[in-house]
Amino acid sequence: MTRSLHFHSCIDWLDAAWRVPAETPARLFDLQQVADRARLAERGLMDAMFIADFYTYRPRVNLEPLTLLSALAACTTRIGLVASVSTTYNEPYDLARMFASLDHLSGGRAGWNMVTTAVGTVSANYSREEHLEHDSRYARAQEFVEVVTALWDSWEDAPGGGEARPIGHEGDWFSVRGPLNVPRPPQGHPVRCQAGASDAGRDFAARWAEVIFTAQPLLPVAQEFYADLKARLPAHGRAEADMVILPGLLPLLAETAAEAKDMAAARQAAQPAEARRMEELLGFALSALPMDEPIPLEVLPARSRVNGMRGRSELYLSLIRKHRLTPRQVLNQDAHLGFAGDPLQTADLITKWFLNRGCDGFTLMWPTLRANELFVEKVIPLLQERGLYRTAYEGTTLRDHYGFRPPPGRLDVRGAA
Amino acid sequence: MTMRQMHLNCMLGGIGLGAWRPGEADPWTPRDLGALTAMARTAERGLMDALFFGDLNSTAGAGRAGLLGLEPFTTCSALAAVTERIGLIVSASTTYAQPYNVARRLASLDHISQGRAGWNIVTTLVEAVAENYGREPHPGIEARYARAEEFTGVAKALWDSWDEEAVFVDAEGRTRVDGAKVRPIAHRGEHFAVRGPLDLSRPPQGRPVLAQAGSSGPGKAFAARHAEVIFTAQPTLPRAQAFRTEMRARAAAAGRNPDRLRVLPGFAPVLAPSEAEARDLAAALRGREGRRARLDRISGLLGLDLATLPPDAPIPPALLPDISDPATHSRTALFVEMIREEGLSPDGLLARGAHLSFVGTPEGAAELMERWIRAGAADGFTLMWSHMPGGLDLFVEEVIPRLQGRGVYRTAYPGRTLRETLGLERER
Repeated sequence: MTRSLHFHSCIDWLDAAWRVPAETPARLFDLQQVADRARLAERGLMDAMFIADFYTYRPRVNLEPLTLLSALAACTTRIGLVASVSTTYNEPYDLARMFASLDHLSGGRAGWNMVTTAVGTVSANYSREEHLEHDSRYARAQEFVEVVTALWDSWEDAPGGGEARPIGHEGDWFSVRGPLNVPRPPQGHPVRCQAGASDAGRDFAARWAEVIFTAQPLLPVAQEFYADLKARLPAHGRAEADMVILPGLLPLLAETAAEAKDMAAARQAAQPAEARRMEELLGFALSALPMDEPIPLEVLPARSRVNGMRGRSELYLSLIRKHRLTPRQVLNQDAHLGFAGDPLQTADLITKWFLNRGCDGFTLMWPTLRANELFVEKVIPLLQERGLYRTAYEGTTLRDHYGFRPPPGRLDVRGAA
Repeated sequence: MTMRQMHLNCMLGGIGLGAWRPGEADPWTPRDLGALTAMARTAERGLMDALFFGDLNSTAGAGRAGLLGLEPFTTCSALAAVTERIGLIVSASTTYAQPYNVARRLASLDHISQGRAGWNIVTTLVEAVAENYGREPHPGIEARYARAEEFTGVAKALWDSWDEEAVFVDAEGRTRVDGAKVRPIAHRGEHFAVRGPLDLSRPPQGRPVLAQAGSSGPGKAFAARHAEVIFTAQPTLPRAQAFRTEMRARAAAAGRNPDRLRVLPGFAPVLAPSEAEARDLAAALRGREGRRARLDRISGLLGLDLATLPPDAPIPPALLPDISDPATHSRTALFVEMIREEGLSPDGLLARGAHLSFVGTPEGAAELMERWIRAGAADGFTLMWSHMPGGLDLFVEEVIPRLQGRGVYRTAYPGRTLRETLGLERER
């Protein structure tokens, strides 16, 4: 089967810290503006709208992902709807029914980004003393996904609902009798996405994830990651085409290359907060070191000690070691791939990453609304001309967009025994 | 002085929706957004206050009509995008959810709908739900309401954790947050520890409208403190009058203005153009679930097998359970009192049901509803449908204009938010 590009459009990114004159301000709490952007992405034939979740206060105004995507289901007809929902701070029964419900409401366009919440402050909002340790989060996540999947499978595939059976799950973390109180979702299972790049995260991904988000600023590292994940699939009875890998891309996209460079410079100037974030991520004081000398290896922790975002933390530590980066280079490096260019340059970059198996497409994080529009108007047609991207939606469900096979029906699974 | 205007909530999905389609064997549980949208818009054309979504996090007892539908938050959020004025009341359990999750989803629904969200606070009655949420047994009623009290307090504090002015638009037209006007709530209680603040800005209504449906002792005490809309089962006018009077007095005793309470008993009309057609329809609808199944359900509540008794003779009061314990399930207490006071037989009880029922013409329904309003038995009704979407369509086409003609129902929405529609001021 020929590969083709896939794109996710992020809802939650526009609210950037830097200024672009004449740019429409982001109103992430305004359904009409978000719906307009979803329809824009749908015109660009993108696979899905994506929204992350944080479960904790940030000084910005936004909406809760599942409610927002449900509203978007009513405003769109084809584009997929993918939300991060935490396995750490939800019950599997609630999560299974909310996604089943969204899948019914949207006619089979729901996707769940399985996150193990990585921010310590969240536990304080959920009556927990301690944030779960990294490895326990994945153990819990593993069982969580098993329960959710069993609940989606607890109904027969039949028009009008058919028969339901209890799942009788008794595990280390959960005890759930079932069946779900919503019939089997139109997609069978809403699409499972995941964004963990640590070793525990990769094993989990190989077993469960169908779409991968990842921060990959450098092509060679992205290629290693891509090859590694896809190589892990056969052990789980899965084929390469059963997984789509979409690194983040921040397209600093403008009509001309010069304008794009200005945008990148403006962004660079607004980065001190970024430095603090990076120091937290790395676990040592970057700014105390000489800015233009390679970071001494002895200051690097042998393994990441941070409890949240460990995959990304380890990625940086390995980049520093391997390429002997200076503090300035690290600070100038976006966690995600950032690229300043005009439409042709942007299409070239995407083509290069795709053909060299650094990715199957990108999770697009928009710096401005204008970049989002330009991408749909100018970059998409270039990719279509090159035969790398669809010219129409070929199906109605999110699974159809990725070209995924439907999951086996419940009776196939259990009746075979 | 103008006549008091009635409020109408429309049951759509969940408990009590007798969504039988005449001529079909299975209850109709719409999961298709197109069908749901059509019904929501019909209710909105009827200028109804809100769509009311019951919920139960289990399949237990769900053979009953309407239970196997969609999850309320997702459904209401989708409907918010295709309606403009009608309120959206979501049931969410305080026993099986986390307050941070419920508070943020309600705030989000309120933003998405521009101020049309309501929360039906439920403590979850059905014990089997516990089996979907771990190994702890379902808590007793007192424990459930103690948790509900703390849960509701946390949710209110989270909505209040952003000042109105915390969100502002700067000179460049960007929406910004003044962090000094957003505060942690630092809640530490018996059931929950929640630092806050909420991760969403203050809902447009300040707080979503709070609804509640418990009619037990602890349920009424809770409603008196928190509920702005009360959904209740009141099969007769005197009972309804007594209930509304009691709830208003309790609210006053809790320091609230009783005029900010909307008591909306369930009303389940079976309507047809003529009396005879309505009777035929009622018989056809009754036949669907089967006498035995309905009898078994009530038998379960009474702890008494009604099937062993003569169908047409009064149920002997000596067989009835003791209901003096205030923790008695309110529906059990209601049926025992009805049997005692009215000398009902098993079939008589089946015909009556717990909610105000009516079989007849649109004119008759409008007359009955007006009578209840004028008698101070209700502030309006929670409409429960005998069959969907036909029951709703007929009500909006035929009953609503008659209510308007009688001067007891609005002819246009008074404002934009659910609070404005209900005539409820912001609580804070």
